Amino acid sequence: MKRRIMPLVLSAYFVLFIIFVVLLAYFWNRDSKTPVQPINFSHQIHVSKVGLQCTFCHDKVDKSTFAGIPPVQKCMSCHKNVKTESPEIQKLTRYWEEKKPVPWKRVYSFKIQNYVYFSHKRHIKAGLDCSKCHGEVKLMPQMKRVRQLEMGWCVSCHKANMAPTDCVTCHK
Amino acid sequence: MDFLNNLFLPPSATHLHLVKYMILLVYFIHIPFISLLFGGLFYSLYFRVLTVIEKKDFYLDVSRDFADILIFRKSAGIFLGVLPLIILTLIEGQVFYDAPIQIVSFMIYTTILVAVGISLAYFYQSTFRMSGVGFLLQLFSGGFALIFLIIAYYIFWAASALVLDPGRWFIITQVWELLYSWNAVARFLHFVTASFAVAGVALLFFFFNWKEFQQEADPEYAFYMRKVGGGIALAFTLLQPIFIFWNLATMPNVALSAPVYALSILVLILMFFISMTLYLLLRDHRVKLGTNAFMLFIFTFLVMIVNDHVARESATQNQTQVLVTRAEEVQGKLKAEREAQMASAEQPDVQLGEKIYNEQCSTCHQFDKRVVGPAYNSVLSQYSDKREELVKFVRNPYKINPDYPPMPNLGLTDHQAQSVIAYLYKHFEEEKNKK
Amino acid sequence: MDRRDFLKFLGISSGTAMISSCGVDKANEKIIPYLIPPEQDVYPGKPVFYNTTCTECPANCGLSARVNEKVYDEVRGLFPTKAEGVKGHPINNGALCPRGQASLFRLYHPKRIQRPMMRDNDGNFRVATWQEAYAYVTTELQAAKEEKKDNLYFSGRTTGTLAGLIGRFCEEMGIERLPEFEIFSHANLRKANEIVFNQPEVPHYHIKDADFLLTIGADILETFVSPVSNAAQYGEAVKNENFTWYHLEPNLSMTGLKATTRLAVNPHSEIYFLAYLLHALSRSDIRKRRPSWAIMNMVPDPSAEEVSQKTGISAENLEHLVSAFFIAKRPLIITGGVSTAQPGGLEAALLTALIQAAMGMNDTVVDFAHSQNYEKVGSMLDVQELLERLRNKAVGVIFISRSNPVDDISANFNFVEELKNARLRVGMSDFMSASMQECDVVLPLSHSLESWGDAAPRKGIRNVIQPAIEPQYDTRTEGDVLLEIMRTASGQKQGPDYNQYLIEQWHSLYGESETVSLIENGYIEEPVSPLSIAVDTRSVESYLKNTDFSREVAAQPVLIITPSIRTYDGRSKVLPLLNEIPDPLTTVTYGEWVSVSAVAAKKMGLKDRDEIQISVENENLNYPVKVQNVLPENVYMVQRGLIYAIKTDIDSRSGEASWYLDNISATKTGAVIPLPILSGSMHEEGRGILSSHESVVEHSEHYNEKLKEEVDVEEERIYPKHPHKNYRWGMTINQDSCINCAACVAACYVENNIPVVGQKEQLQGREMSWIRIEPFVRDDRDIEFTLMLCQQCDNAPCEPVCPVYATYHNPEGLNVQVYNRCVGTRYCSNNCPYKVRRFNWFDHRLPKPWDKMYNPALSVRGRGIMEKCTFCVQRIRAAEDMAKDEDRLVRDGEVVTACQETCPTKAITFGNLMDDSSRVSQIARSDEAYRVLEELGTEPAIHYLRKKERKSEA
Repeated sequence: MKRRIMPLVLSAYFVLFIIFVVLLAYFWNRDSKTPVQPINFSHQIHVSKVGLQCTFCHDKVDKSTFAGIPPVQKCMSCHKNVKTESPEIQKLTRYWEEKKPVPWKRVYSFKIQNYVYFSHKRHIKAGLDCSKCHGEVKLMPQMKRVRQLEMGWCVSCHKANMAPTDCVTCHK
Repeated sequence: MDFLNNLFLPPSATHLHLVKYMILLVYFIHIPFISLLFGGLFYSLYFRVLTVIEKKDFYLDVSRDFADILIFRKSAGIFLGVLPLIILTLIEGQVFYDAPIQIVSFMIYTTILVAVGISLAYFYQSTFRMSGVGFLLQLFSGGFALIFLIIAYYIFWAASALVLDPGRWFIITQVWELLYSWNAVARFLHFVTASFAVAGVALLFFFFNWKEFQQEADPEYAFYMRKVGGGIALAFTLLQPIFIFWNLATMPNVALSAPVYALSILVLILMFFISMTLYLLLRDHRVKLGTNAFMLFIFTFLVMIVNDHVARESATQNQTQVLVTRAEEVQGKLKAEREAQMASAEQPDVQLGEKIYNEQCSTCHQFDKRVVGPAYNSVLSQYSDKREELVKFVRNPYKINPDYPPMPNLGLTDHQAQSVIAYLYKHFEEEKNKK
Repeated sequence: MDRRDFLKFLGISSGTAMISSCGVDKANEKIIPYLIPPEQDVYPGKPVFYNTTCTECPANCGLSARVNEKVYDEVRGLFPTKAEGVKGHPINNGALCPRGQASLFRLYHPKRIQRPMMRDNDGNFRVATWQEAYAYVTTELQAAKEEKKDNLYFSGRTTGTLAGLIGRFCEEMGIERLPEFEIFSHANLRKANEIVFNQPEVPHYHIKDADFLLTIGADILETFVSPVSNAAQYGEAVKNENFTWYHLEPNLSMTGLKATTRLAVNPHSEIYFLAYLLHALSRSDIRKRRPSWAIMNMVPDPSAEEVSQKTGISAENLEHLVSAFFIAKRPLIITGGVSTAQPGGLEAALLTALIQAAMGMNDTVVDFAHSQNYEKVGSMLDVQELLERLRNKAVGVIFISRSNPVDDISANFNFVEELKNARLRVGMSDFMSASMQECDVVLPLSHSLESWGDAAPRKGIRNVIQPAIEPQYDTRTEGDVLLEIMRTASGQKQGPDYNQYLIEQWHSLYGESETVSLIENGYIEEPVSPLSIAVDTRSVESYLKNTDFSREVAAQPVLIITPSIRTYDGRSKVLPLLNEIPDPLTTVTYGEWVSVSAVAAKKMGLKDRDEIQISVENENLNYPVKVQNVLPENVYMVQRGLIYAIKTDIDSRSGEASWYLDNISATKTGAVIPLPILSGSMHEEGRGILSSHESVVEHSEHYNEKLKEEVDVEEERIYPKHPHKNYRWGMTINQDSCINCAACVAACYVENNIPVVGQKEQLQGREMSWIRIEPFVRDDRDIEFTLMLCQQCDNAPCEPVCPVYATYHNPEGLNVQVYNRCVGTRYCSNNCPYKVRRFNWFDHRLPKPWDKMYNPALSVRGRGIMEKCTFCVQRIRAAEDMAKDEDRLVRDGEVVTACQETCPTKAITFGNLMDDSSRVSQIARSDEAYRVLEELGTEPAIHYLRKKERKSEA
């Protein structure tokens, strides 16, 4: 009797864990895919090759809580003439002509926006480099999330830099 | 830890590649060995204590055998234990060149602790051969060896956990900060349990394959050894899945990738086979599967190491890219310097200018036609007698003509700017002369 | 189940990597750029302000709309999220009333008319295009002309450029422009001023310059002409130590309760008092100009006894009053509201005018040069005439613009029926009001925050109306509509739109540069020619010849229909916020009610919410009761803004609509009607919430010296003292200048996204207001109010009981509530002695498109969350952010809380208590200061300045 049961128990046990890992893999795959953008915009080209500064497009980052996503007009100011033959730019032009803003996908989920006050301005003025949170964007052909925005991470960094850790500094 | 950075040059791409495989190799050598040593030391110590409590010399033999079989010889300790760590330290120093991570110092702490731990372990091993050594001396030497190793490897695995989480690199500056991480805990416990398991298996393997043991051992002692080895091996093998899962669950997203999950599943399957063999081998003592179990286990170990390495790769790929670009920059600089020396530094360098023009300017500017910015032919003439002004403008642009978009600041050095302008005018003049 | 739940389920809940991916589904999260960025420099964290005009009532205060950038329905855009007063505006100087604060609810109202509508063949409304509507109207106008019918233009009070344009429109189109319609037309007042000074106007009263104020019936702080301006001036006036204010009224108003002395008079008996006063003054030597003998002879000269017998004012009070009048340097007498909207109202106003003349007030405090631009406003007489013409089928097309006559004109005139006789009814409005329902063509008007325009609320002031948001629907401004109709009539394709028309007007009036400043500041002050105001003896005499003053005092009991501070004449009734916040005097929120005096209630055995039947002639009206202390026994009050059903008569001489029903009978029906009354009790039961001598003394003992020496007095405290660094935010509330107008309450709602929960919830006592006005009966002659909001206690009882540390004391002295940490145990609210914490029983998100007005600087709390006042922490944060940029501390007065900002009398001060030079700490140290429930040792951060003792006789 025992001779039969034991192997079964063992295999059941391992199968259970294999299932767990598979589930983990499934959720990981679902959550942390880098979103497919409506236009395949490459930060790598614009920063590393063309040599634009971050603030050239995200011009509000040192003024506002919100880094500012460049208006389509700004893209067009150059792309009226540059690379007009590329299909991606043609997509852009189409949006512009249809007077539709480009529906970019969020890379960093901002569900939390409702109850967290985060000021890009303050962090820039504190001399924090963009890459600290956003990773080496200048090397990303496709913008991807290098980090989830979890409170523990914020707090540990605030502690390390003597930044305030009073709840209302961030919670609104 | 800057002085450490200064020890190393930014490694080039090829070099980095090589280094990566070095790391893998070092792990292959070091981890199985150290886990055998760790497990063996623990058991040996355990039975040594049992001897005193139960008042049976029988256990003394067990304890001694564990020590003899699993701790190997001193030479092994040096070449498989300490040396790899030193190499690893140097490698990490290069891989994380100028990265805001204190990995090198962590590795140094580990190495020192391990060195001490291992030497104590060998002293403990040797005490079995010395005559008239008191129990306490053994207990202390063994016990401290164990403690040192535990601390060392907690730091070691915590550090490896940190490597997987670039977001926390610049935050974690002290060892103790390093230790609060669920991933670190998972990895450490995984290591401990795994080493206990492998120790058990190894015991079986060596005990039944090495002649000298075979002869002197009386059957019931052999039977006992078999039971102990198999038992603990099975028990700790069954714990593995929990820690594998925990490790995955607490691993930061950057480190995770499809292969990581795939390999983890493979490991689980291997574990299943191991536990089955162990079970059979326990069930009836005629079965001689110790060897298979051991081989299987070592293989599993290698898979786990590869798995970890894959995770590490994906976590650090940004860092790698940074280094590669950095290395190129450095070489570029060196080259530029050399060139500069040829054409005395102040002289603007037309080739450089042309290079920059083709890389950057040409996206927005052409000579003959308007693209984004105005056509050079139309504007250069205005500046022909005041080039310095143009250089200034290029180095930090401002809006001149409202019907063009603003020109971005490209962060050129003075020399670069000089060179570009020089090139532009050279080309400009040539064009003119052609007409 | 998402990853996190899965891990929870496995019991591994502490790993950081897990919390990280909480509920992320990026699939449907977008980040929407502008197509083209707006010209103004506005981005999250930096709103812009547009100075424009509030159009909720005829006062036309300056309104400054705060516009925030946010993404709504996947479009990044600019949305007005808050209404403030325009700083330094001559009328309201930065303040607004509750109606003004709530005006955003009108802008985003889902029930607004969104496109033009016309009747189809079977008489139902159908959507039409503008062109269609214009064409139809023009042809109809023509047809009516051919039928020899007159086309009429019937509108609410109109000032500024639009008034001119309407004139031009009527001329060109051959339309007769009727006098403008306001139900509170101050007809008697204007008539009297016409008779006495040839000025058919409502003058501008300089209350702040007066040192003695006598108001008769005029509820200057609530609805009378320009309440915010009056209140602001009152705020100035009370600073003067020997400012005294007598208020006479037959009913009970908050204005009366603010007066130094409130005297209740019998209904309709004011004239006796005024006649007595006139004679007393003219006999004395303090009068500036003596009215002619002839006039004085025609005005009856009652003896003091007679007066006190008629009016019910005791002899010695009469004595006090007159003597106070005598010693005053700059007396001001205002008669209006309930005392002019009565049969004897015209005489009352007339006598008042004579007194003003006699005391030479016209040169100082009663200012006709800056009068309130009511000259184009008609009265009920004009309405009667209109009705006559309708009856005779003499009306072709009638335009009904920006007014709701069907509701305002009481039913006995059956306006609705007569209106049907017109050939075509063209309505212009933003809402489907009862009047619009009667129209054939309904043209939707843009809200004033969507349109260009201007307004001249009183002579010498021109307000600009400018858009803070693109029109949300297919609506037009009235100006554009008129221009379009003219164009369609004359058949020309295009011409200037109303905006260009305005600019031309302004340029011609003020020139280019001035125009720019007009648009920037939101207003411009024009010089006015001084008027020489003299009594026109002849007209007065001729009038007095045929008037008998021997008017009988009203047959009691009477029903008085007053305007409402929340809905004015009912036009603001559609705004949910104004139903949500309580009527300050009764604390009733939703629904209609009759205020019954405590005495009468006792006699009839009435309790709050008991149904009472009021019978007039053969009319019966049933309403729930609100027992009202201090109200005279035989007076019943309802609020016009809430109740339309009551039929009232008009004064045949001036056309003033009467606010009275004489000789009513009230009977208890026995039924009980649910009515949300927010105050649990009208009595503080000796808890010492109201300012009293004791509270102040106790405070000074306990607090003041402690403030001086920093070391804490040895006292038993369970928890360590909180360290404060740089700031400890605090507030002072001046009970003496606070007029309980509830503007702060409304402002708080809008600023802090406080949910509007509705009647059902409020009936269960689930109101959400963070700041409230609590009326308490001091004695049977006086009701006192106190403003109650989170006291930001230093030893807050709510903090230690929170099991999840969601509420705590932060280093700046705020009692913080972390909303996404709160789990809703409600222990804190149970433990709060001030009862200022509010619990969300449900998700009360505003329905679309109201949610456009949410303040992005704040979260919108969900179900199961406790919320409370945090001194507008978002504004503090913004100020600190600014200060940090300039690397300094926040300056005094840099942080302005919503309640403080909108307070007409500037009763609230906010600032840093740790900075001894700050205004707030100076005021806190005054001898009048005290804190509520001091004895509990909660160390509140809010200091009240106690109300000065005042005597009030019934």
